[in-house]
Order: sequence, then C-alpha cells, then structure tokens
Amino acid sequence: MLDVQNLSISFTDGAIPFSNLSFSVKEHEILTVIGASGLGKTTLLKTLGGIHSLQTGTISFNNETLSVNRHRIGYVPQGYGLYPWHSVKKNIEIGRKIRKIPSDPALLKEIVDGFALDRLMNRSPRRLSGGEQQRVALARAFYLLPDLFLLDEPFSALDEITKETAHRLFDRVWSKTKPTTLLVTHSLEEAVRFGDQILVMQDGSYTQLTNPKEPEKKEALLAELRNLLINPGVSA
Amino acid sequence: MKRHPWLYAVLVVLGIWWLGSALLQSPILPSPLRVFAFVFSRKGLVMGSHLLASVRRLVLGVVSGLLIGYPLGLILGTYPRPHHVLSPIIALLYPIPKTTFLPLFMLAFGLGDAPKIGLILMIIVFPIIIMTRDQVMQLDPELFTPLIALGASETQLFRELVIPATIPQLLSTTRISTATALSVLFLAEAFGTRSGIGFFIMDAMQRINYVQMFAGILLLGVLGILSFQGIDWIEKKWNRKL
Repeated sequence: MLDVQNLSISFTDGAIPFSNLSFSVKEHEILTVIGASGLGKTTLLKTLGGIHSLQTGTISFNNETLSVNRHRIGYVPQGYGLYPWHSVKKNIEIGRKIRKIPSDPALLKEIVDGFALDRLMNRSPRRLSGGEQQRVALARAFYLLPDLFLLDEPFSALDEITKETAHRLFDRVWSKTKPTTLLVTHSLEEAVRFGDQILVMQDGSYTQLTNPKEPEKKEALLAELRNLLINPGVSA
Repeated sequence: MKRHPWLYAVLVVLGIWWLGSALLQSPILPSPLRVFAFVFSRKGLVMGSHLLASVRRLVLGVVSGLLIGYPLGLILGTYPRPHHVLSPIIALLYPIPKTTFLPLFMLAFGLGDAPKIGLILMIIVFPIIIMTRDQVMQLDPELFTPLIALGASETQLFRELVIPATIPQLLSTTRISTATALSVLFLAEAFGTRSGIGFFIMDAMQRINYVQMFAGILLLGVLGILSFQGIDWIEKKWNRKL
C-alpha cells in the first residue's frame, strides 16, 4: 500500500503547490488524481517519483519509506519522455537496463502485443504518432513490472478516437500486472473509469472518494465530482 | 546535376578556373591542367610530406579540442556551480579572434607543432563548449523524469540521455569549426615552420612558382572538403540511426 501523510512542498520562489496532503492507495489499485491546473498534481507525482525531494511528511510503500532505489517506479510524464536516439524496442527496455533487471521476452511480447506495437519496434519514437508514442511510454513503464506506476495525464494529448483505443489497451495491459497506480487526469470520465479511489485536489483542500463498483452509482459519483470541481458550493 | 551534385560543382569550379586562366593569360593564374600535371608528377610527391604535417596538426588540434571542449560543455550544462564560475570567462574569451594568440603561442611553445595545434584547439574548443553546454541546458526536463524515477545514477543519466542527445549538435559544430580551423592552420603554417601546406603555398609564392602555389591551394581545398565530408558522413550515419 502507498501511504502519504502530511506531505507539503514549497518551491524556492515561494510557491506552495500543496501542504498537509494525506492519502493512501491500496496495492493493485488505481488512485486517480483530479483537480484544476496549478494545484500541484504533477508536483505530487514528481515528489513520489524522486524528482522533487521530500520536504515535510512521509511517503511509505508497503511499510517502507518509498525510494527510487528500493522500489521500481514506472513514470510516464505528460510528454511521454521517449528517447529519439533509441528504437521503440530500446525505449521499452531501458527501464530494465537501468535497474539491471534481466529481460523477459515472454512479458515483452505480451506487453508489445497488448499495446499493438509489434510493427513499430525498430522505429524511432520521433517517427510515431502521438497515440503510438503514448503506447510506447506505457509499455516501457509496464515492462519494468513497477511497484508503483505514476501516470501524468497519459491520455490528455490524444484525440477522442485514439483515446478510446488507448483506454482499452491500458485496461487490458494493466489488469494483467495490476501495479499500484496514481493516474493524474483532467477528465472526470477518466477519473471514474480508472480510479478505485479518486483524490480531488482543490485550492487548499483534498477529498478522497471511493469509486463504487456498481455502474448505476457511478453517475452519482460523476455528479459529486462536478459539484466539487466545476460548481463548488452548488448542491447536486 | 541532381544525382552527382559534387561532380557538377567540381566541373563548374574547374571550368571557371580554366576560363579565367585562358582569358587572363597571366602566370598569376595558371591553367588547372598545369596544376594537375604538377600534382600528379614526381615533383608533386614533395607535397605529400607537407600534407601529412598539416593533417597531423589538424587532427591533433580537432581531437584535443573535442576531448577538452565536450566534457567541459557537459559539465557546464549540468552543474550550476562550474557554469557560474567558468561561463562568464568563456563568454569573454570566445569573441576574441583566436589568430591573435598565434604570436603568444609561438613565444610560449616555440616554432614546432605545439603553437599550431594550440591555435586549432582554441578555434575548436570554444564553440564545442558553448554549443554542448547550451544543448544540455535546453534538454527537456521530461526526458530526465522517467530515468530519475527509476533510480538512474548520474553516470547512467549521462550515458543514456545527455551524451546521445548532444552528439548530433557536437558533430555539426565540429564540422563547421573544422572548416574555420583549416583556414587558421594555413595562417599558422605561414610562420616559423618549414612544413605543412600553408608553408608550401607561401614558399611557392615567394619563389614566384604559381603552379606550385595553386597546387598547394588545391590540396588544402581537398583537405577541407574531405574533413568536412568525413564529419558530414559520420553525422548522417548517426542521424540515420534516429
């Protein structure tokens, strides 16, 4: 389980993206993080991913302090962070290379097939469409078999048709390995579709909601999210 | 023309040269045929040792410029403290015409190869440092994110990200700087030496042997084209990988 307690971050320019943030994510579950721009969603992921150093608070994973050296963290940034000097195959394999983990051809094939990347393996990422790049970035993180999966708006740059395909492929591959996941999104529908839990970040306050399993209750959750984010203060 | 642009360019330049010499009818501009006849004659063999001396100086100067400039550029682009200490000094020295250092180098290192190699090094090293530093500083931070989250060491970040990202610009800068270095080499070889194509050209001019002088210019030009094309070839090979 990922457990974050009283996390605060402040930058040298005086900006405080968030303070006293607490939440938890059960193992093999997805927490979707939603909120307006500038409230620190990316900063939160970067803090969990070791890019920003922890200032106050605690972050533990399965009762150990979360560490990029101890835990495998798969991070998919907004721009996907692919390396154009490597082929798609080498991009996918780079995580295991860095962590000195032996390659697993069967898993690689499963993920590559899962994301429909088999025809693209020898190409440079710069010759791929946005949707293809996004699938490569996801495949790279999945192939690492991460303990913690951090996704920063992975679907936001995709058009509606590509997005629907990407959603299905993500569902398919995620359900095979089920890494504990934080998925930052701007879309209420994505937040409800993927999140077992939903963390709503507002200016200075945070609400963690549980996503009901029953489809008929999802509409109510969507309405609650709309109230929290779009019409704060207006009752449903 | 489209299929063989080089052949086309060579033929046009030789054609203009030949036409000029035919119209001028002056020993100052001998016909290309006479110059080629000298280059491929037994007497022309004397240019071999001069060519080797020039190539040695050029290669040593360029390689030492790369060996110093590239790591320094990587360091300045990566670490703020060396950047704050050294970058203002580099910014001050970079615009100074490097040829003005030749007398100083000759006084310091004598009349051997060292001042000439040092001068080429000076030509190469500044653009390499500045271009590499700037490129590292402009790298998209998102490229670092997945690797840092994976716990990549500093060495791994350099090996997997910073070095491959800066190689194309390094090759491009080397190609352009080498052309400048070659023209500076000519100047450096005109003083205090009895070897090198620069010396050969100036010596031929003083002996009023314009055929040999043009043969030297031709050879220096070929050396420039070959070094330019050589780096261009490596650059294309590298980019094709991408």
